[in-house]
Amino acid sequence: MKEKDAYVDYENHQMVMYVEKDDGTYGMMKTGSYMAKNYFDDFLEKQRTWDSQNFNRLVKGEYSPVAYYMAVLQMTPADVASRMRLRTATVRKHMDPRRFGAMTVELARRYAELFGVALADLFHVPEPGHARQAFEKTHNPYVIIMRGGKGEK
Amino acid sequence: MAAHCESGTIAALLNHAGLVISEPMVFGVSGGIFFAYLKSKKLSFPMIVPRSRPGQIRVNIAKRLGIDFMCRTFRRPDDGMAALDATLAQGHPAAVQVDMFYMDYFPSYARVHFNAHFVTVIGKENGAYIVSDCYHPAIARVSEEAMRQGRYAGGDLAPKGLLFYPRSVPLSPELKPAILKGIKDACFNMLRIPVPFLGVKGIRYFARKVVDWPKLTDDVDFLSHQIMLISVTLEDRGTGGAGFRFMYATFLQEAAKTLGRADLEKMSKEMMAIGDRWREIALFTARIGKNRDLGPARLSELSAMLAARANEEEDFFKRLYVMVK
Repeated sequence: MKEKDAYVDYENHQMVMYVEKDDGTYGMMKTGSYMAKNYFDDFLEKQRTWDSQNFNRLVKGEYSPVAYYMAVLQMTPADVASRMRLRTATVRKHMDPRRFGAMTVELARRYAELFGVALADLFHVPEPGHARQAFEKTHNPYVIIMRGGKGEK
Repeated sequence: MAAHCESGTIAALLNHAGLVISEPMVFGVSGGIFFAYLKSKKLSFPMIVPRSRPGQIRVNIAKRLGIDFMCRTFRRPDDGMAALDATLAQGHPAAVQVDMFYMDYFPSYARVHFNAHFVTVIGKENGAYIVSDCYHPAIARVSEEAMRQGRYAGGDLAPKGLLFYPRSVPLSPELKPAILKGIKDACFNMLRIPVPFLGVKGIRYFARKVVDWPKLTDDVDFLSHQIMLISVTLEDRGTGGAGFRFMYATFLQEAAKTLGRADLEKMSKEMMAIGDRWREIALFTARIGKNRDLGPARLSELSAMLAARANEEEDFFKRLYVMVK
């Protein structure tokens, strides 16, 4: 691929490609991502649809918070079980809203850490499209300080 | 920035240690080019992998160039973090393996659980690690907590606190035998592994399986997403373009110059052209995915394109192997 054909002007997602330079040698170039520039809108549209579907299942009681975040991150029970060092059957149990409540707070904290959310976010889920409330972690693993501003969506 | 995290990190560390070597040379000498079609209960959908197993680049480059890496895993997170701090205090930048999810300098939509990401830690300031990530355009800061979480994530290919840096590096290594060994390795991996979803067989397997992907999900958007992930995997997930084929072409051109071999220069041009045709597949999957044009005719067309790549690469690597035998 020639350098002039490969270059994409897109600052938001930069990457390195190997291309043919004008003198016929092959070398690296920094460029924007063609995929991101042209297809990111489609990806976001799909994300919004799935976020809405997953949230509706959560509030209807079809998903437990564990199942909800697994769906958001597209993680399978086997993958979560491996990362949490639990049996897959145990993870499936926690995906069931009727059995989610039986887990310990410590296990819930570990799930929250896996999903990259605060423990409180297992029980206080922002609506899709709304930013999480900003928070600050403390030295207490079970306690966060909620801040007045907005965090990440 | 570099094309790929493992080869880019290793090339950066070796250059810092005084060995002038390019990322394509690191990639090619270690025999990094490959193909695999993977399906597992731990994956939400089948996926393709166009390079060798994570960790192999470091192992092979060390063996072939006589590099002594200090390389350790640490069972206890406290020990792993202390070792990283000690290494930095001695003035050594070090590579660590992390779960990409915890590298919070990436935007949230780009953060996925992927355990085989490599970053170079170049310092520590006010409790945060200063990190050079091949996929991030600027130097980043990672909190101690996030670094600990990333280095000690569970699951497959778990990092286990892996830390490495070059302890000694030959400044004029024997490149010629290393290049030939790397090429032979790549040819063997692409042609000779008797497993149906690996190497050239893996590309053919993918070509056969992709037509049945609609049976794996009822959700058209999800199918579209998975088809478009083919494009992302080939172009955007740190390959240097065309599923590492462009970087391998660059390696072959450098190899041709080092070895004085016009036949390898010709092969480098062929590999660049093969890469161009993989890029056509990437553009095709992006287009049909966005248009939700995922019926049997379109997937058959994709399957035919993949089968053609398999035939092309089988022929290519067979001839390449004869050249370096």
